[in-house]
Amino acid sequence: MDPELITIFFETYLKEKKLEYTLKNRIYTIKLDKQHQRLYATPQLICTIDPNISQKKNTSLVGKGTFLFESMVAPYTQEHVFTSLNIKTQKSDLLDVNNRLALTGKPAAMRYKIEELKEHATYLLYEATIQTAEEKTRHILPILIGSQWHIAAQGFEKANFELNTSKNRTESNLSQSIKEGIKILPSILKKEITQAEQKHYNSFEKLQDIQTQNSEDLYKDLQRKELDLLNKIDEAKRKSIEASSFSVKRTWEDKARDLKKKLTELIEKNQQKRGKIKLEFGQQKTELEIRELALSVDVLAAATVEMTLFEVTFADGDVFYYVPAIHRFAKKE
Amino acid sequence: MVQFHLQQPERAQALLSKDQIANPDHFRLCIIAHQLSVLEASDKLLALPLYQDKIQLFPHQTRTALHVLNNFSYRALLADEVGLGKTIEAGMIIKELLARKLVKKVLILTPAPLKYQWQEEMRSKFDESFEIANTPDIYNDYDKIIASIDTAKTPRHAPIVENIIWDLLVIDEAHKLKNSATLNYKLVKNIKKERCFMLTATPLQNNIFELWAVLDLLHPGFVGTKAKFTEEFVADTDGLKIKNKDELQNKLSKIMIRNLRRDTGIKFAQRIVKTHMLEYSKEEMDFYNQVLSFIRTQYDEIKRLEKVKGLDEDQDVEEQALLSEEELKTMAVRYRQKGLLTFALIMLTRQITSSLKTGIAALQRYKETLEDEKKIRVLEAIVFKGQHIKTDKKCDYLLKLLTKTKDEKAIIFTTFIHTQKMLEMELKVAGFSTVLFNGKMNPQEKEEAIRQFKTDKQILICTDAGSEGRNLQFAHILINYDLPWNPMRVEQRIGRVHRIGQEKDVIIHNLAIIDTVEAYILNRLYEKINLFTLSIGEMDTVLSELKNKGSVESAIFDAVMTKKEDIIDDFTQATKRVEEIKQFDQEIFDRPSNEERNQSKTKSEDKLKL
Repeated sequence: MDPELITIFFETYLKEKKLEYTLKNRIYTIKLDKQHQRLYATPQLICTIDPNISQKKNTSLVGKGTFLFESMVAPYTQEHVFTSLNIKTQKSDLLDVNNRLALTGKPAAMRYKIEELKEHATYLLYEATIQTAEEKTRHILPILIGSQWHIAAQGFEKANFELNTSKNRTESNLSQSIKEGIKILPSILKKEITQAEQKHYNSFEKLQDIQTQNSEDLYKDLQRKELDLLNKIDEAKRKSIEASSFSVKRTWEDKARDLKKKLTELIEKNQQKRGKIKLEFGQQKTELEIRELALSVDVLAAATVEMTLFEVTFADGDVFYYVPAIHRFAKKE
Repeated sequence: MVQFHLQQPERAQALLSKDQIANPDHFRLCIIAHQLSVLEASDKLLALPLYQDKIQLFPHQTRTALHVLNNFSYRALLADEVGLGKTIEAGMIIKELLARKLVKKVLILTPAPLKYQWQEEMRSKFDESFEIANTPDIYNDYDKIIASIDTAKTPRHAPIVENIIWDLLVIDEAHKLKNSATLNYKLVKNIKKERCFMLTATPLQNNIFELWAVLDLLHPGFVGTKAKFTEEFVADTDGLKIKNKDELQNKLSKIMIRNLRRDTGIKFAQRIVKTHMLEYSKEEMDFYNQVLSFIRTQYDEIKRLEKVKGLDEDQDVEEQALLSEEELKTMAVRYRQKGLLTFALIMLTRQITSSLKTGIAALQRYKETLEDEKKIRVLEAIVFKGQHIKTDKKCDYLLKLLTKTKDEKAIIFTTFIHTQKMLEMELKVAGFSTVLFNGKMNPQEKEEAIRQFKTDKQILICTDAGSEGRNLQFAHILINYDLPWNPMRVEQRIGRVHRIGQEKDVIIHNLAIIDTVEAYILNRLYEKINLFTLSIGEMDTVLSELKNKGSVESAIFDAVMTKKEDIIDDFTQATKRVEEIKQFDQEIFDRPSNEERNQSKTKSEDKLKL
């Protein structure tokens, strides 16, 4: 777990909740408000993000899997948010582009030119769910979409952004970006989808087999009962033919008649049962369809992002955009 | 390649058209939180930190939750032996699926008496708020719902429940679904569900076919048709003998989990029962006998009412059909009267043995319902006598008993608020620190009472109505100041302290007065069914085996008044049946314990050495 991410979250949380704190030797001393006092049953919280310090000094740990941290995180996971952001250019950005050129995969000797651009991009946080017959997996995918590029945007939360007060977003543009993002997702999750498909078809087939086999067996059970009765009737008839006296013959004939009557009733009953089996088979099939392979997506967060880009055009004609917010290159589409 | 589709386009649209935009810090917190919500999710319980401080978790519970989530996440029967905390396991699984955002629409079906208990457990332990489906619109209006299965199957509810695709369906007391002809069974069959977990402590109540029926409902065809299952695994026509045990166990292990107590390694506390048979003073005994005699007279009158035409419960339908409309109405009113009168007498009998104060208050209330002047005068004389009694032998004995327990925490149970208040006063005068707990208190007051008892008060005086669902295992001494007549109530009292996690043996003191109804119940019923030494939760099974499906209290009252002890025999038989089926259960589910496995390993190693 990235400690930097925990630190960012924790300190942003304290800031948002307006909780005063001091940080000394990596130990936070936080004065809690009433709401937090109730939650943590103390007026003052002393904690650290460093597991070693926590152990040595016997101080509460803030980290993945601790109540302290998870109780802060949990409410935000229920929210869907939208915002408009502005990322200011840093002096170091241009230097950064040059230092990271190797990430484009181009030979160091290849000539290139760099141009600074203004971009209105869209940040989207998708929740992609892959459902198979036996499991459902969730993937949280941040994507930045620009006018001629897109890129997986892990690390965007660490960027130094601020609120963009100028009203420059249009809903139709955002809707368009969401659709574009959805088209990109399968390529990002290619490996996961392929694995899921393989797993799914095997287990789905097995589940279908169980259902079909079960219905067939139920039909066979009914048939067997009818056959058993038929055999008994034949037996009674045979015995009546072979009977040595009229009274024995009559007894077997009566028995055969009774059995025939029973058979008629059984056939009628079984007819209803067959209908029920068919109906239940249909219900089970419908229920299994809920577990068909499905890929679904939800947008958890969206933001318009105004920022500076660096367009790098290489001698071979390839164009890349350096996105300072996440320190990575996106290739021109 | 399969394409992604937008799950809720309207939500995405709403997100974009929001007037209020999030500030950057809030946005940052949300996007980090969402990303953290999927990390390390497959091998750990993501939501565990949110509840582990509130619940004493045991390794088998965490193991079970993870096993279900990782191995059979769509269909499972959780069938832990009684008292191992199945509800907690189910709660952990529900919480985890919600935290991982794998389910949204959740329905828990329970027997009616358990719905509020489930709601409280999910709220207090897992911080999940579930709505009770008292009206049909709840199913569509909320995502997390608890419904009584008997309500859900009604024509008002069933079509709505069956029309929704539930992400998760949890069914408690699943053994009650063994009969495919019942509406409950049909309801579960018709509900469209992605995931379904069933809970039962008694997968076998009479025979193995019941287990087959439940599993076939859970996962049709997984264990084969009944004929196929019988052919493969059942060795007799009654379904009480099995064959191919290993294969059967192997098959079952793919759809159900049954943790047995001895496999968990948990040391279960013993119940030590101390019954104190006390003697009333002469004036107390006289008063008691007079009240009982009055009750007997009243009951005889009710019984005589039955003889009146139109109030014969055994009267057949043909005879009733001959009655006029007017006679039928009178009959209905009398049935109601009879029920109410019997109930009032039962309460009176119980109150009079609880404490003098409660008894007198009850007599005064009862007097107001009387019209017969003569009876009123009799009752007034009895009350007058009661008001002048100076002794209270039971309370005196309690004080002595508490003095002997020294500073140890103790819970005193009574059914009645009047007794509770009287005890509070007496104990305070005697110098004990006490705190009250009853059904009239609001949730905050209850929390505060428990907190006080846990921290600085020595004695909790508790009513039955207030104690349901509360875990008080930090105390281990329990005093039954009065005794409920329904053994389940006794079990519920004991269950507050004698539960998983109790480290000390539980000491149960029963106070009863010689020659009273309580003494009769204690000696004739409770001791016969070994009530106080049953293991956690077994009483529920005994009660489900009773032939008498009516009120246990009424049956006991009738036994006391008429000396016909059908209910006692019924309890004895039920206890015997439960014992028999326990043995069969062990045959199917018992695996060698770790100790036994080690022993047999050592033995085979010895053989090899030889």
